[in-house]
Amino acid sequence: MELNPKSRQLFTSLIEEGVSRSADALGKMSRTEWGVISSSTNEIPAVRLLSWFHRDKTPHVAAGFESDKDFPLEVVLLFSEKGAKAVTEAVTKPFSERLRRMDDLVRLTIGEVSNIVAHSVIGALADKFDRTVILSVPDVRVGPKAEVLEKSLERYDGRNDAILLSHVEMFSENLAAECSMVLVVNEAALAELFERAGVL
Amino acid sequence: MSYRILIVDDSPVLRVMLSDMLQELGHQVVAEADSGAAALSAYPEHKPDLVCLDVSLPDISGLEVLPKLRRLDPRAKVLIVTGNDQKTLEAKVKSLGAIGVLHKPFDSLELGAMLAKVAPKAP
Repeated sequence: MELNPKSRQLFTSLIEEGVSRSADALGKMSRTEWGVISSSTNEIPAVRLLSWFHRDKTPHVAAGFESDKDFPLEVVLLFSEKGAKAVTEAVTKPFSERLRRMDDLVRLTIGEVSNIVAHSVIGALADKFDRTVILSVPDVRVGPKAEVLEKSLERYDGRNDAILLSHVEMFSENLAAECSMVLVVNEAALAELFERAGVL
Repeated sequence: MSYRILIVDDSPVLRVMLSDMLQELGHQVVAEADSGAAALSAYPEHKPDLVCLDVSLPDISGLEVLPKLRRLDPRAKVLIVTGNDQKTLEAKVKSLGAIGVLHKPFDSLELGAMLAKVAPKAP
């Protein structure tokens, strides 16, 4: 089952609205402005997505989230190591020494920041379907982009499942940090949801 | 008015941030829990005036913890503190007995305003 052009257009516009909410949330937490450099939604087999990300071998700090069964999707946020440190410093600065002394502070902070951003990006989509979508707690991983993304694609058949991929790049000039966000939805499952909900 | 508060959130970072803000506002954090099970065991031990409860938890969701807390103590005051800003969530948690919803990210002014707003409504 595939999304018809109108459903796909609606999905894209709901994600765009979510991206704008995400940039605002990221800005509020890090106390500086974040801009959206690019945002696109495409249909792509999982294997091609991974080969695309394989080009970047630099280590990233990534936080992955799965939704509940009712609304199957994955969200992954990726920060370069340098960007993750800059974001952590900006987010934790006003707080007590107890926070800054915490082991693994970068991973923990990126997990929490990503949790808020990931919920923001799916907010408009959930509202449209009148659903409450609860994401898992963050699974924070460190490694090259393709490696950290692989786990979020485990539930898909790499060659046969068509997935809708929204790929967003955000950047903060003040922090010299970038954030990539990948949202993955099984197209057939989404088409079924559209049909059942009678959204279009 | 000063409250004795239990913080329930899987993120140690958020727990420290929230604890700092609550103490700055003159409240006392009596315990912190990182899961639903830890929250349900901490509540009877500390009998807090208020629980700040996250929705995404590693074992059971805050939506399941909330009615369990209310069964333990029908007068339990629970404020949902979540990054989830979906419209349906607020109605759902209020029907389960939450006294309010505070959306992450927030600062201490927003936290203080929320506590001032929900406190008189608490059962």
